[in-house]
Amino acid sequence: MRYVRKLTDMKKKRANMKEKPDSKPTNQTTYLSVNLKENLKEVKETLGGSTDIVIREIVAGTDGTISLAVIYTEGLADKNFVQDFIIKPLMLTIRDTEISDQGAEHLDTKTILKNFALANGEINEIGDFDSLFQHILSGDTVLILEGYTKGFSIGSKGWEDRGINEPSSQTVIRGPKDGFSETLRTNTALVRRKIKDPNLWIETKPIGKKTRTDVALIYLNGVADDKIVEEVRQRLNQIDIDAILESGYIEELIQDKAYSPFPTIFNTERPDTLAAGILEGRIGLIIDGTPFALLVPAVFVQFFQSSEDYYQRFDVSFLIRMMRFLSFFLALITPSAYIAVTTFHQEMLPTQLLISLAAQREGTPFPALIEALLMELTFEILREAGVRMPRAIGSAISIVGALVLGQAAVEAGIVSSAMIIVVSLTAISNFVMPAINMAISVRMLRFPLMFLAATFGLFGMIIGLIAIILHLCSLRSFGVPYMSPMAPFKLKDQKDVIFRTPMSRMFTRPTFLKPKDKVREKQPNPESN
Amino acid sequence: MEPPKISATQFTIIVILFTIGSSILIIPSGLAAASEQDAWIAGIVGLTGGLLVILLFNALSKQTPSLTLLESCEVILGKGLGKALSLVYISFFFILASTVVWDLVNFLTTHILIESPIEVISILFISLVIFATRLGLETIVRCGEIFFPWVIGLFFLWMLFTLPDVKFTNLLPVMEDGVKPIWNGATLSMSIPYLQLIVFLMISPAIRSKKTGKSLFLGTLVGGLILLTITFACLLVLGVNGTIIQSHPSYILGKKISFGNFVQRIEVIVAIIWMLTIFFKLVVLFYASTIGFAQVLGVKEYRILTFPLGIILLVLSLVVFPNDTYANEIATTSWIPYSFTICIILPLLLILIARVKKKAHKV
Repeated sequence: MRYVRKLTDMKKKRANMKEKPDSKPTNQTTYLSVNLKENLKEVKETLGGSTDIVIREIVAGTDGTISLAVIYTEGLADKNFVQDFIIKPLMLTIRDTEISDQGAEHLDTKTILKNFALANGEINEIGDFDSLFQHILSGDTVLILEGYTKGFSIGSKGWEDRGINEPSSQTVIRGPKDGFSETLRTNTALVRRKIKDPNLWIETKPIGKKTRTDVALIYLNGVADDKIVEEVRQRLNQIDIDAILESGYIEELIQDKAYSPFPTIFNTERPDTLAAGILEGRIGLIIDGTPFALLVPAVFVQFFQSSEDYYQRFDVSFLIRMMRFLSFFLALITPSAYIAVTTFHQEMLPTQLLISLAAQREGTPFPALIEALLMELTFEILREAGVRMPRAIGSAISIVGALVLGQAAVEAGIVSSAMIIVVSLTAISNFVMPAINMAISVRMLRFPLMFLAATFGLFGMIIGLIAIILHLCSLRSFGVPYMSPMAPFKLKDQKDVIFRTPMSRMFTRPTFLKPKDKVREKQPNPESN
Repeated sequence: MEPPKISATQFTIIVILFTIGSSILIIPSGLAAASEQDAWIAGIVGLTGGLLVILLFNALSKQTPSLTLLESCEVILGKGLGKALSLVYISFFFILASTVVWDLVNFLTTHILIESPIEVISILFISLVIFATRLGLETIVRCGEIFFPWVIGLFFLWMLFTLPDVKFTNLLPVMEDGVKPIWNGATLSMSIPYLQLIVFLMISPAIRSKKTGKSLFLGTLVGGLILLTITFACLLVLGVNGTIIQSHPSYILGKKISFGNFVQRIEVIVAIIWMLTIFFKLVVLFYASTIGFAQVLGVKEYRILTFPLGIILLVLSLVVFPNDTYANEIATTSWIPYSFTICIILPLLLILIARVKKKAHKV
């Protein structure tokens, strides 16, 4: 009962939180005033005189009657651009331009400036302080004039970027080597370069009350299911959080089920993987500030597919994919199977192997479960250390890991060498997974299975595996059953699950995504063959 | 709560798994005890009888295709009498469920986990069943789809490995004692498992397509053929006496297999098939009893009943049979008339009353 009450309390609290922003007076929009000085004072006060904000006051016009100010953020705006194409025309070029010849003498200063001085592609009119700050802080240059309640924002984004590098995760031997970077526009451009179709639609929306992070929704109109697109839009709209620093935030906020060890949203650093997903009728989400884009809906088998599967010939990819499924099972059950067999089902082993195992285990003081836990834990620590430590001391870790903890532990009689093999096999198999988040779920699920195996043998393992499969079958990703196309079984979609059929046979998009346009390539007329 | 929707293929698969589950443990020795070396003939007769019973079930479900068995009881018989009959059916499902748990636990403690306490094994298994039932029918049948290829694949592997040990002389002499033993075996094989398939009338309204009857028929046929193959294999490899004296002959069958000196002791394969199919049988029975109970009590959300019913099932499974001999005795004597009454006579009556009522309405 107390739990239920806690839940309802939480709901109430959440409801209250949603109401609050409307009642706050600070959120009221304030508009620009006619007085330039007052406007600048407001800007300075609101930004607390931050040192990276540049405010340049200019007196322009032939007779020096127009006073205006240019505001931009140093580091975010392209300095050369601002000087050459905003400040220079305002101060110099406009004096040489014969405006009267153009029949423009009756126009007001603002329009004259816009039409004759500012030779820039992206100009927006702004009237309130909210959008003014929004533009300044995202790298645009803002121009405000004395005597007008409207200013301009001029697109001048140009900050230092990491550039397009090879992706550090999801590497391939054959395939494009470009990876996403931290800038939203670079990333959308990378996708556009792959899909030059007018139906590739991009919707952008700022999320996060403080960070105002741009989130772009990319999909192929006329292919992606409208219902799923609408569902994604709604879930994005429901987000009410102060900050989005990485796509992981969005992933956790829009996923179907929070309490599951399995990821229900796919993430990728590779433009080709994202493009392939979009072409299948999925919806891409690119978040500004991170190279990891999201792809929804995601299904279980997707995490076993690498983009290289489609660049190598189909028979090669089939073999490699089979190996991935095999290593998934190995990573999941090897330690528990070893525990179950050595503690409960010794008769399953051939006699000679049993004798050699028994001889090894004779010297070790711990039961198989403790031994396995000890080694698995050690390995997990080693791996985590390998990820977080500085690159320079990498070799030290491998020496400590391989020699000290492996060989020495066996020689000291703490663990049996069979256990070292089991742990290594598990670890290596785990690295085969192309998707790191799926590999992590396997790492976690190994431990409960080990406990079940140690208490109930193979029976316990089967119980654990049934429970995992049941849980997997109950998951959905944006309405699509997680285990499709295996359960519910769809024969048409089997061409890209365990097997990958040759490209010339992939006629349709996966039907479980309910694409509006199912045909990928025209099925050849059987009579023409 | 949206009503669950499953496809005809998923329904067929779950029927197959249900038919194999737990009968795979009992049927070979039961049939051999009843009809000796003619057990396979009894199996064929039983399967034929079973398929006829399926036609009866289909006729019953055609009376009220959108309602479950218990709902149609209430529609046909009226509220009071209908609820009473519903309770009879629920008790049938529930007792059946407890015997299924007992079968599995008895097998496990006899052969695999000899020292483990029965209660702990039951608790673990029943908690899994409760977990599955709470996730809903759609999840259960999807899980069935995932495991089905494994069950079928392991089955074929197992049968393939038994081939070298086959001795056809074990089947002789055919029909030594006439028709009587075959009849005994056939009624046994009809009551376990074919008559139990009435539980699918609780699920059939969830099927999206109209081919419910066909799927049920097909599933029973495939499941029945698998059972028949196992009975056959037990007779051919172990002989009549070998099959009768073992409580779980198909497990012993797995033990006997030796293929080229390196594929040995694959009885674990057998055990895995059993555990999977028994799990699905138990889930279907438990799900049916839970939603049945919810319908009788008028509870909208069946999930709140899973925990109390699970605990009752646990206790019932511990006391349902005191020992193996008793269980065999029940299965070959009282169980047959019990299930024939509930699964043939009562449905026949229901159909009759429904037809008479319809005629009366028309006049």
